[in-house]
Amino acid sequence: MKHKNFLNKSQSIFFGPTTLALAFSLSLFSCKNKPQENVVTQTIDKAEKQSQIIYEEALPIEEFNDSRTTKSKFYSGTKSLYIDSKTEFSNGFKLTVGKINNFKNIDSLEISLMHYATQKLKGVKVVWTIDDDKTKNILWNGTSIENKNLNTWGNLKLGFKLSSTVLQPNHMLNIYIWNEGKEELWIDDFEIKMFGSISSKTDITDSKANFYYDFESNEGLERAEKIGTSIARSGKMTCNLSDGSEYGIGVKKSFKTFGNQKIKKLSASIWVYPTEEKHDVVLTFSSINKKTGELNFWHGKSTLEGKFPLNQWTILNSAIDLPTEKFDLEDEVEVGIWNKGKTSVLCDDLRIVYGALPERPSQANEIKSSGNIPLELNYLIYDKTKLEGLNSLTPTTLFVKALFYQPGAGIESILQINEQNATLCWYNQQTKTFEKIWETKDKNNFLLMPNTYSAAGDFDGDHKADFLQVNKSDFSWKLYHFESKEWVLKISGEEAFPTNWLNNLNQIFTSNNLNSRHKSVLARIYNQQIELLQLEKGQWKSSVFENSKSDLVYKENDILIDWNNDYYFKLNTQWRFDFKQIKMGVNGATINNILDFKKDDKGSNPKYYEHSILLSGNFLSTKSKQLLVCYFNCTNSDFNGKNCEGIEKNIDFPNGLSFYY
Amino acid sequence: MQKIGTYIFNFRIFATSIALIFMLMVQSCNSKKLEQKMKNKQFELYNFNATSNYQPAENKLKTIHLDYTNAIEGFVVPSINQIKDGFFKINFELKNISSATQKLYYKVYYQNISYKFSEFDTITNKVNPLAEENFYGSWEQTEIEFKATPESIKTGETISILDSVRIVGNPRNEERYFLQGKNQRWKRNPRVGNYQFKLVVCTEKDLKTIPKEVKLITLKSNEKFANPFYYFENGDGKKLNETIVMNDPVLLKVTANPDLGSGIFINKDAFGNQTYDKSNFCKTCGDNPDLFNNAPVQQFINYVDASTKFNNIPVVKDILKDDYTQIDYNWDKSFYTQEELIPTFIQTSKKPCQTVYSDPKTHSLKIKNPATTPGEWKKESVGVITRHGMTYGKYRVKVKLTELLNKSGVWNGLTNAIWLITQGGGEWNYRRNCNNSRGYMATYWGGVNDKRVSAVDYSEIDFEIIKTPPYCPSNKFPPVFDNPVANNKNIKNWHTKTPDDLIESKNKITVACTNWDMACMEPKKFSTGCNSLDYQGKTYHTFRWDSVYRALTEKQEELDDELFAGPFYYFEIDWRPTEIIWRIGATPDKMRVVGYMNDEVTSIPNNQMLLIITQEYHNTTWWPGAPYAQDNLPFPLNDIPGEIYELVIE
Repeated sequence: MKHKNFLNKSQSIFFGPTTLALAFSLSLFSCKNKPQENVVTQTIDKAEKQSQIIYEEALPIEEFNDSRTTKSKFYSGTKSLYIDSKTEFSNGFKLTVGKINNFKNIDSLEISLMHYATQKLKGVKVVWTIDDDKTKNILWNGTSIENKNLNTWGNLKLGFKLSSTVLQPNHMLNIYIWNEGKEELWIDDFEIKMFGSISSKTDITDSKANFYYDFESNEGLERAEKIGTSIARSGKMTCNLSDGSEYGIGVKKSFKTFGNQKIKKLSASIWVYPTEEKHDVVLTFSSINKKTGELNFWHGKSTLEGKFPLNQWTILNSAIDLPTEKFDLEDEVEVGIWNKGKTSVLCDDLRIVYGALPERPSQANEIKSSGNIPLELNYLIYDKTKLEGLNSLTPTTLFVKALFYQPGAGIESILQINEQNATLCWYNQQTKTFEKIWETKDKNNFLLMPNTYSAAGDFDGDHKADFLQVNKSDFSWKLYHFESKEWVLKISGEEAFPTNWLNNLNQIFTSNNLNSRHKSVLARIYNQQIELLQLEKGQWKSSVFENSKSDLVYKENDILIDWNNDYYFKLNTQWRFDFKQIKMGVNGATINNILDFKKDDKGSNPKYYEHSILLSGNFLSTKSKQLLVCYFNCTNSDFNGKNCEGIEKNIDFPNGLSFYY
Repeated sequence: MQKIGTYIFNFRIFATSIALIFMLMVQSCNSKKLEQKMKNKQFELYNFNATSNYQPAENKLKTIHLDYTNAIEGFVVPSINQIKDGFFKINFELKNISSATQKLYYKVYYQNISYKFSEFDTITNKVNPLAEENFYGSWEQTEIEFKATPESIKTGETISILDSVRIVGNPRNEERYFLQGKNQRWKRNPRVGNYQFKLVVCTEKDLKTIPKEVKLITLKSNEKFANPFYYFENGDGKKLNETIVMNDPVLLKVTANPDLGSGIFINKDAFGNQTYDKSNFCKTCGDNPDLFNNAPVQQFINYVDASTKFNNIPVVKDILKDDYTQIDYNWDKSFYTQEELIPTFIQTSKKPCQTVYSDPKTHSLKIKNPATTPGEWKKESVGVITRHGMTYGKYRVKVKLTELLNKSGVWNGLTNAIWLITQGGGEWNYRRNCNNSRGYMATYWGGVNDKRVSAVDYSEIDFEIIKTPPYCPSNKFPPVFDNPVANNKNIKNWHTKTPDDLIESKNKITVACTNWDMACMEPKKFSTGCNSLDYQGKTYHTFRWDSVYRALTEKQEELDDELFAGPFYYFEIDWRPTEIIWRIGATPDKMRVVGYMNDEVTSIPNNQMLLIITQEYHNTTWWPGAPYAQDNLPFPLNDIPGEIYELVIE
């Protein structure tokens, strides 16, 4: 137990940035709606928000069908974990560290749960442990669950700092409830999250490294009174020192702005427009010790170096390796303009880059190859078939496809659902155009109903295409057919749709091939395996796809796209557009090759876009499949992959809706 | 002052060789037949012709190419393939105008006048100490002082003298070029350029006055060789009354124009002196004796040091053909993890002759950086190096080297280099001592703490053409690049913009002209940082990182398409005793200067060097500010060819 106590409780409560952010927002929310206990609420530093979720998992309590769950009490869904005097250890989480994507970058663990008890809890602990590959325990931590209020649900959220020394690939992480006191309680929403920075080794981990000031606004500038209308290199405003003023604008920032590690480099450029000879304008980098007021360092580069013709804009570039031993994170660094020569001069368009070029992230379990053979790169070819007939894209456009249109003779039709309208299209091979089969703009049409989840396929196995709609509010679901140019309700589910499947809709995909009976199924990657959700006698049943035990193939957030009987496309866009072809065999899956797109006639490649939707099907021909790819960038600068506010129209990056084969 | 003949031919009034050529041209307009006559009170001297058996007499400038046949032991001019017997025939006439029968004495000297230091130092009014470095010689039988006329010449009698001479390496038989008693003349090969032949005829009386070290060019006086051209034109020899010094009005122009189709030799030392794959050997590439003796070039294997190790993205693409754009580069730069990178060194060929080819039909050389495949993952440099060392010369190559930028302005990672490098060898090839107390940095590869020594054999003069910004003027350097952030949910985070000041350079590459002076601080304007230097009305900016940095560089941006998209382009390094001039151009008569340095700012090498032409991969950490990092550029999907059509050294 060498390391058992290296994190004692007082040390181990780590107010991880995202944890705190989440906790803070949760706490505000819970003030109105939910009971609250043990919720950490603390203002966090803006700079610390760079941490992000690397791994998250919820205990699938709803899927447990044994005595350890009960329907008598639950916080969400229909069940909770039941722990009584006979239960010393609860169901929990068990995972191999190396299987976690980006595990090297994990720096904190968050455990959250809801608890309920009728008595004051004294001997119940949330335990997390790390064992080495020989099952020898190298870290153990137990935190008591304390309930201030009886007979009500209480929230427990714990944060722990994780050291890279314990996060070794072969180590096993276990998290469970230890009912040491043999008490009775109920647990729900038992979840874990691991946080870290994808680029933990980088000098700066977000886009806050690059700053550009065109002086059209005074925001963030020191001595902004020097900004005025004059000859400007860009816009109308400039830093006007034509009166010979000695000091121009400055930009002051705390080193903490750029993370918890000291930046090692500082670069900047300013465009200078001298109107007088003997100019001496200095671009300065300086820092003062916040405590002592003494100068940490000063660096200047003057227009005396180089060529600065009169009445012309000329750039002055400067860069230094920062003397990290001379400043503290608490100190500030200022980039400024010093008109040392006190001559008439204008300055404009200041660019500052804080920090050195970031290192690439570490992602140890990224698959390089099967064996030592490098994966081959295959290209999907752009198909020039035009997609006229489809509605314009919106950020929430949903595409589903199926053989809705029976006269289509095997050509799958595309149902496009926007907030305002829905369109069903089909490619007519005779006219070589897309034809609109059906359309609605009726807000009351079921297809335009908000807060729903939709999918298409033959879910009930009757060889007719179904449109599945799940109401996310009450988990009710319905199947529709398209007949005689109308949508017809076929099944209205009696049992609720499994709620835990709706936690992360982006992870769910539809497959026509994963079910041996050629029924369509919903599927997701869970614990490095394919989990299926299929309709059996009016109920949605989950199971693990038996051939999906090749645990190196699948990663969390993967989605699979049917290509043909044996081959699937595997897409993961969590960190990058990671697109591969896999072959499914009796012994599991193997990754065949890496996929990329040949650029289209506009030079676009879907993998570069912020958002993409991929759909495979026999859209143009029954003989071969095509991949429909929709791709666009979002207008919101903080787009996180989920809530796109608008589609950006940029001629450099034209949005696309294209077929590939 | 010597008397002059019918035509004015006192060469001493010509201060420089350029003026000499000019005057010869003027003179040639006036006469179709050359006649010379000089006299003193004792005898008259007529019609000195040092190359009477080579080309017509009316040629004012006779050109001869160095014969590479069996020349690995050193060039001789002329070779036995060029003139029967392999010697220039000398003739002249003497008339005794004294009152007594007498024997006369003569000696023939030659000197390369294109690449020489002036013999006379106008500041000290003495001999220029560096004039001893000039390439001059006489008969190979260096023990012969002056030859006597075969017989005594009677008063009023005219006789014709026939003799012969040839130009060979190490004409002074200097010990430093000997090995185990053998004069390895190839260690000081004849220089290219114009040669002047000088005939000295004297009476017995004057002969006794001429110093021994002038009569015997192998001898030194006060540790210095005595340049006879100084002695007779500027020194005491000028005062001799019974001596006539006559220059052959015809200059001999020696050039090198090796047949690039005559083969590539494989030097086993370059391949680690180990057993190597000979599967690509062919008639014009290999290690057989014929190629050893005759091939003008050998395959060049770049020195690979530890700093060339890099972690490359696992991507194989044809950057030039696949329209690999800036966004492709930026994505590859951001979205591969550390574990996916391929740790590799820059490679050199393991199979000699596989990537170089000598084409006897087109008399050209073909080189290629080989394609690679996933798993093989190699970026392999390729090149050829000449085998016959020389000192000084105007090295001009006609080449079609690979384009470096594609139509999107993305660099393919290669550096096209045309460069001179020391022939090595140690002491025999030492540069002139660096007399500054600090001397040269001892090694090419050493760090800042390398010791300094008075002499080294390392020298290098480069054309390196690469995608990198100029360092001067210093206000532009270093360019400020945004740091990318690998956030695929915001394209602007990772697809960073090119800085405004670099946009106009999108289609340009930088021609870097470098002289490795090994940080010898002797030049009076030795400097660091950016400094300007004017030449022919244009200002050039030299740059040196610091006082221990071993090289001085000038950089100039040029259009990639102009240099490499056409059928060919010319590059020229004009290496002269006191200056180096780098020129480029579409044709030899349209060359323009892109780099200039002189001995006031840098130590100009004076040792023997070889020419290398390469398409090589560099670690871009050598080139601060480079907009593309080697690590982030794909491996080559296809072979990247280059072709060398012609090499002329003159």
